[in-house]
Amino acid sequence: MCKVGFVDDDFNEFGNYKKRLARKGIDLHFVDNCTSLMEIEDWVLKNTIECLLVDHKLTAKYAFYGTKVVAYINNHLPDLPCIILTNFPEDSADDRLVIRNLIFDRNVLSSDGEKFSNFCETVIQSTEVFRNRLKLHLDEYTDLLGKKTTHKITAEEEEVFLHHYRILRSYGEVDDVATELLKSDVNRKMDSLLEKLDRYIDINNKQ
Amino acid sequence: MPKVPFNVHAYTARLIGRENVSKLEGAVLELVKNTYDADASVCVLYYEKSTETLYLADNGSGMTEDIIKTHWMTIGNSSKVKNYTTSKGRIQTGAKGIGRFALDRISDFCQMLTITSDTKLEWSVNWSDFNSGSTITEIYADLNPVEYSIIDFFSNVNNPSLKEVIKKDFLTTGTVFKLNSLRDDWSSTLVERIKNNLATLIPPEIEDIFKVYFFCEETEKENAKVSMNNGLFSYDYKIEFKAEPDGTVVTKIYRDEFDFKGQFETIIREGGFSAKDRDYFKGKPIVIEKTLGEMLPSKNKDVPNTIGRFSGVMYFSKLSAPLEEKEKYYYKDFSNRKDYRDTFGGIKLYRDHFRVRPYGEPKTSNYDWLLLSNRKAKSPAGIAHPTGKWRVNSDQMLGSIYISRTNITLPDQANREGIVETKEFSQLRDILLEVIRYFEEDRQYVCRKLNAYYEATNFTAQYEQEIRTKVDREEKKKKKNRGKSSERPEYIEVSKVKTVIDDKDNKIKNLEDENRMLRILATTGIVTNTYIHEIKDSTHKLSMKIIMAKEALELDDNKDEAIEYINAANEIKNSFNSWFKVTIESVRRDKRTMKEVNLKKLLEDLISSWTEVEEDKGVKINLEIGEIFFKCFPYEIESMINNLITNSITSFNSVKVEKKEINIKISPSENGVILEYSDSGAGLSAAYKSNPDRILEPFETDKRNEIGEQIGTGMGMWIIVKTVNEYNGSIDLSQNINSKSGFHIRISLNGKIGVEQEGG
Repeated sequence: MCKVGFVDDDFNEFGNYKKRLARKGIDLHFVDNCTSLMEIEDWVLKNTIECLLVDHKLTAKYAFYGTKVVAYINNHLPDLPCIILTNFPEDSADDRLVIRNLIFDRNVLSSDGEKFSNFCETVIQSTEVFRNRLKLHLDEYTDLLGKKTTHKITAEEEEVFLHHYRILRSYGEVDDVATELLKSDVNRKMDSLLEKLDRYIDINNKQ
Repeated sequence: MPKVPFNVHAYTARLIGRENVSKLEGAVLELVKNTYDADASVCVLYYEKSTETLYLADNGSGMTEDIIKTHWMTIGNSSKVKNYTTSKGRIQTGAKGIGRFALDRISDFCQMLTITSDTKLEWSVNWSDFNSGSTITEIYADLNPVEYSIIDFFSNVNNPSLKEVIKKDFLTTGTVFKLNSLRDDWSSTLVERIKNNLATLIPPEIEDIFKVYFFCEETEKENAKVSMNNGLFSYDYKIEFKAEPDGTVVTKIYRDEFDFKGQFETIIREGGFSAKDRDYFKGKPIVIEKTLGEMLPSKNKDVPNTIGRFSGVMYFSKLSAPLEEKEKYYYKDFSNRKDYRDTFGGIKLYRDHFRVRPYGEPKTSNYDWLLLSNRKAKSPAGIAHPTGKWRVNSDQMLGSIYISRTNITLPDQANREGIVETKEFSQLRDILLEVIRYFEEDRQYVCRKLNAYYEATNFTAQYEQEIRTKVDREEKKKKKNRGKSSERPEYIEVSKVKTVIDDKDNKIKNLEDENRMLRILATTGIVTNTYIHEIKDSTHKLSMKIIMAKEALELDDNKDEAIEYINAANEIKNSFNSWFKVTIESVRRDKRTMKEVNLKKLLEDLISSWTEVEEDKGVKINLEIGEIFFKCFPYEIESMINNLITNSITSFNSVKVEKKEINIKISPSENGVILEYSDSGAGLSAAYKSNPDRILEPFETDKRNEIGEQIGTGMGMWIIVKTVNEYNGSIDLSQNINSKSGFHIRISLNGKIGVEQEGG
């Protein structure tokens, strides 16, 4: 099952969507108790969402439109696939914040046969893409970790390293440690402390 | 010396074919023409999307092994060159022996089954073999005898309607092509385009003997029929003509433009029409018989017919006319007439019942190949002009001219892009223009008479003309006297002026009524447009319930759950009814009558409908009103309230509002009523806050989407202003200047201007 989030200001049909999509291998989760874009991002990471479906008109619950949610998430989690699902695909396209190919008419959820299957395949395929990209992040992260351990990492690379870490940690791919501990200066200080500690132990042992 | 034969590279042969058939539409037409040449009565095209296969079948005579080898497989050798009449007597349309390359244009791979009364053969070719670098004699197609029938050939297709047609009409002989690896993406738009194209290419007259169908996987037989005769075609004049080899040209003109209704005899008598005219108006054609010598001005009176036999049908079909002309010339109603200009428009040329491009091709420079627009520009006179010649516009004419391959002086150009510009082709054009002139003269004859009749019977027009003439004269005199009043002013009887004023008043009243109705319809449009999101949402929810019910039965076998979903769907259906109440109800006939209205009842009903629609979205509408009776058009009052509520709800939706409340208070005033309206929405935007009256002007709106583009019509408040003005009332928006939130409006309505009695 792939895990998919759903941002909407109307909960009424969610149960039905969940039931239908589950038959196709999609585990749908409703984004709840969030009011800001940042909270939605946190919710996505906390729930290890692999694809996000967003309604266009959210004004009954949020102070922004769905296209803004997609733009924000794309900015912060560039690889997370986001799909607009709306009764008015043209309105979403007119905003020019989301690529037209990622805007679907909501009626696809009440459709039958090939149309519905194709939509589900699109969602599932996008989660597969996401997983593969996560793997690429992990590979790059491992590379940079090597450089970091040998103190060969540049400042720019360190930024990238931390970014990868944040995403990988969110999706449980790496151990959860404070980001602060991964910074080079903190690391150096710790290495130096450990060195001193080693020396102290050696001295003690000799005595 | 030994003789060395020439040979052709296979690819070159293919190129020659491609040169001649470069467009897909041309390729399809070429194949359809072949089916006609094969004496078929039915030709079927079938595109199966799921297998990306195109079938083309005809129930013609089929091909024997000998024909396939000596004609079909010999490029450039057409059996139609010498024997161009089929066994059914049809004149065959192709003669260059390259039509089979149309198949190459359509697909990479082609399989053909052809059945004659004696043989059943299957032939297949892979066109990509022509790219192999071999010479043409080294390329082979497979040709094998088979045992199955055309019906068997179609046994695996998905469309049952198609199968029925095949079972009925393809019992004996015929030919079927199955084309795979198509070169084009056969989208529904392309299918529709080809269908329309074929419809214009096959003249309606031959539909009885040759039917063409185009099926897709879901198409029913009726929809598959390729036809121009859809029963909706109407015209004003029909012009038929026929030229015989001896040079006689008989033209028949049918008048179908006028409808005198109950005044037929009066107009015939008083309009100065003849007894013959009476028959012509009733449908009898005007027959004009001339010789070519009479039709083509020449010193030589006996112009021989070197073109041969040809004929044609043309139609004059106008799409608009000013109201005054409709009245004056008694035009029959043509409001339902379809605009054919871009599809079936133009005068088209057919050779042996197949279109000769590009004559009359819509949207191209060849549309007006008879240069009718030039004639019109040279002689722009109106239809009733006493001396000037009226000329028809090119876009008002459509029709078909029929020639045949027996007209040897009208040969095809080698590239099939029209007819060689021979002397005879020029003559043909002149003859057609002459035929059109007969019609123009008749129409002008009728309209001149009707114009004279109108002027003689319509005193108002005469009086108005008299006033205008006198005013002009007076103005001229003034100019002559350098601004000083004339010593002898022009006079006209008061009774004449009154007749004109009464007529004008009447017209203004009609226009006002029309205007009022349009305002209400505009409100209905605005309301519907505003709520289209909600309506679509309800439609989606309804569809969800239905699909859930279906899946509950099909996948879960859970009848109880399915019933629950159906009940839920039923509730959503009720919400649609509420929508109809607030949108359609206001234009009901009884609301369009001026009367003493119980405002309390009217508005309570309206608000109740709105509440049904909006309460689940948390919108509360409070109405405060006593027993008030007010003389008004009920739909105008409803329209004002609907516009205001629509604006408020848009405001609630555009920003996050905690409390969605609308307050309406109606109280009596000295001369009428006062309406105080407010909402708890976002209020006017900053642009209108300092000068809120600006929002009352047309096209002013602050409804915008996420990226600031205007989405409102800017008509809602303007409609309110127009209505308030009619009630001699006023609008006060000043409270918005200082209020921090919400929208506020105070409207006072007084007695309606100019209302003395009930009307509507």
